[in-house]
Amino acid sequence: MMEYLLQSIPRILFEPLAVGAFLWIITSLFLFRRKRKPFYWIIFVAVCIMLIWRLCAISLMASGRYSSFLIYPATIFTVCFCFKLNTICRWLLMRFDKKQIIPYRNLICRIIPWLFMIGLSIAGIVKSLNFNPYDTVLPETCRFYRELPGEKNNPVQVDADPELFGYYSNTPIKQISRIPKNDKISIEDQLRNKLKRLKNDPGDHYFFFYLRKKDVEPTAETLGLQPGDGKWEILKRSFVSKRKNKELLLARFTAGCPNMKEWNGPVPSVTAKNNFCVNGDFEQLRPQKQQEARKAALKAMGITVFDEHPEKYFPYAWWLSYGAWFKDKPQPDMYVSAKNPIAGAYSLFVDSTKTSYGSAFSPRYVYLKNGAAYSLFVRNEAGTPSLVILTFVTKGKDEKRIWNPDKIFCEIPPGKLYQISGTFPAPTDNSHMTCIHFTVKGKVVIDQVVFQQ
Amino acid sequence: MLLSLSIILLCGFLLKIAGLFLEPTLSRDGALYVQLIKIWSDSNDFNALLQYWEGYWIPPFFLYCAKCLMYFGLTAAQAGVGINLVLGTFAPLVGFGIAFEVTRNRIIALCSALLLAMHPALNELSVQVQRDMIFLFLSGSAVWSICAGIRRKKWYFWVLGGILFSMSFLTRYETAEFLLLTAVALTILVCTKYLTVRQYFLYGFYMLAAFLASASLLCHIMGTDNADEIYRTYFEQKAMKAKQQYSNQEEEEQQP
Repeated sequence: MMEYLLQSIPRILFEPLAVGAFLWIITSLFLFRRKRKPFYWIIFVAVCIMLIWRLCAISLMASGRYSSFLIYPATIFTVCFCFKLNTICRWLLMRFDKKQIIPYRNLICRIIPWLFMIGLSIAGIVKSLNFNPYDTVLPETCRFYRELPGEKNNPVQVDADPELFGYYSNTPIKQISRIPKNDKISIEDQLRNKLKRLKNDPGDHYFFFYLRKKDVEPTAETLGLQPGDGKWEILKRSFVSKRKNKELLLARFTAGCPNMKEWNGPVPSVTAKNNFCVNGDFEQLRPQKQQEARKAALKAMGITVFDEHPEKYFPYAWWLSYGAWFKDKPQPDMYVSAKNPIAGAYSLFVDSTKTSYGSAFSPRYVYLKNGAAYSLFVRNEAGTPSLVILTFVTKGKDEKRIWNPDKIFCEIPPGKLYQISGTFPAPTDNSHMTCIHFTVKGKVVIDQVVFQQ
Repeated sequence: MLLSLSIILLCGFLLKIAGLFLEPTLSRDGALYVQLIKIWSDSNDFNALLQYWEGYWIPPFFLYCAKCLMYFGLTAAQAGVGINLVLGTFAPLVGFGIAFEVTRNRIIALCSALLLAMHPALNELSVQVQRDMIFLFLSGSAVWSICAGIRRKKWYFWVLGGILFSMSFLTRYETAEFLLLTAVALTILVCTKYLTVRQYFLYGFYMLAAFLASASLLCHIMGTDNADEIYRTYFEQKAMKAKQQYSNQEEEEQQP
């Protein structure tokens, strides 16, 4: 509140005028305390009300621009104070210069208000013309980005001012993704989290962010990138103000997709002995009674995808989300079938092409120690690339789930078989156990899910 | 007096033009407004703004004025800056009017106009695509009109004040505070026996009636009659998102 009162408001009012206005308020309270001046008291009360409610609603009005109307009263108050200086000077001279040592007393008293007025005007002109030579840095960087060769299919990651960046780079706002802004987390950590998610997302990813002097230099090493994760390069950097304490950076990250590789040979069989994922090969179906009960329950919720296909089954020990809360909209299709499986007799078929959101599913909750290995096989059945998202939900030491999961995005090209493999996130001070959720955007077949500790 | 005022306004204008050439980059809000002006101008339909920006809440008068200027061949950014440049140039005149009505001293009024013409924040706002300058000009004019209404006790100043307040309200919602402040001012004037109770209600009525009539007419002209629709859409979307989040959590909890 004090910051708003002593910094934001004086800044918008122009500091010398804010001081002048304050001095006039004090002076006038003394001068007019017994006078009947309704106009004066109206303005005084109005300014007090305007200030008080702004200070009360400070959470909504972070910017000083909300106080811009106070420029009028502040300016008039300052002028009034300047012209009252004549009287104040006379009073001071009478009081402290009784022997009349100071020459030209009258002239001095008459000239002082005008000197103040000229001084304030010059200060205003100087401040108005005090421009930032780095003002054009943002449009220039955006032009540089616009002229970079190659397709820019992935959303641009920006840490601030997405509208401004979109305007100058001709990028639609939907193609701009925000790096979460948080005073507690450094830009380096925010970038690291973003890169962790993007290293499996093919194509070039552009980053557009501000770096403060105290921040760590964002290199591949400081961002924790492994050799296979991808290539990180800073394309352009420039200071944004005369103080040179903040730089605008444009960086490019080319994902290496280390967690995904094409698979040409025979798919290895899974032994339940080594696999912590129950029914990872989808060979076990739910018992007949449970199948029927589940279908009936889904039908009662308005989900009818199973009615038309009696050969579709529910896998044992897997949770499939049919989006009951979206029952008025097209539902995802998820089932186990023996039709063209990846390995064994059955595979899991997931189709979310009719929906605008992804299909979510996960194995029965198996929390593994962080650092455990996972692997699965995926085949894209759609004509266009499908997206498989692996979400690692961690559990804190208090056994509660932590809802800030790490994610891996795997874009599966159509037709071929791919293996997705890797390790669970490393343990941290807060988390020690992790489970996986899967989300599919597109149409894929999944099989041979393995978790090994 | 007129010559001095003209020189002050001209100096202010030159200072603003210099500022525009020295720092031409748009502000963050400015980029958003330019986008909105473009969309409104292209579609000629206010609903297009609601579709573009789900959380739309901005009063539309500034965007509408800029959109209208685009018919004269200006780009959205030029139109936005143009309005602010013109109104920013004449803002010292408003300051002059208020200072003169309040103090009845021409020198103080003229010096206020001079300081306003050289004011760095006003000069900056005058060359940006922002709603602040149009708000400052309109609300300042309305305050001048109310001051003149109090001083001269003429009904047409109160009507003019109401009209200007409505225009200002459609650029920034903070204008609502002036309605409260006017009521406080009238109360003080009645208490000090400057006005009678009859005048209190009469002037209040003139201003409110002009405010409501003018706001409705402007909304109709701009095609934003469904202003309640804006808020309905906004809050409905908020409620839907919250519901979806709640359902997701519930589904998670139901997981075996």
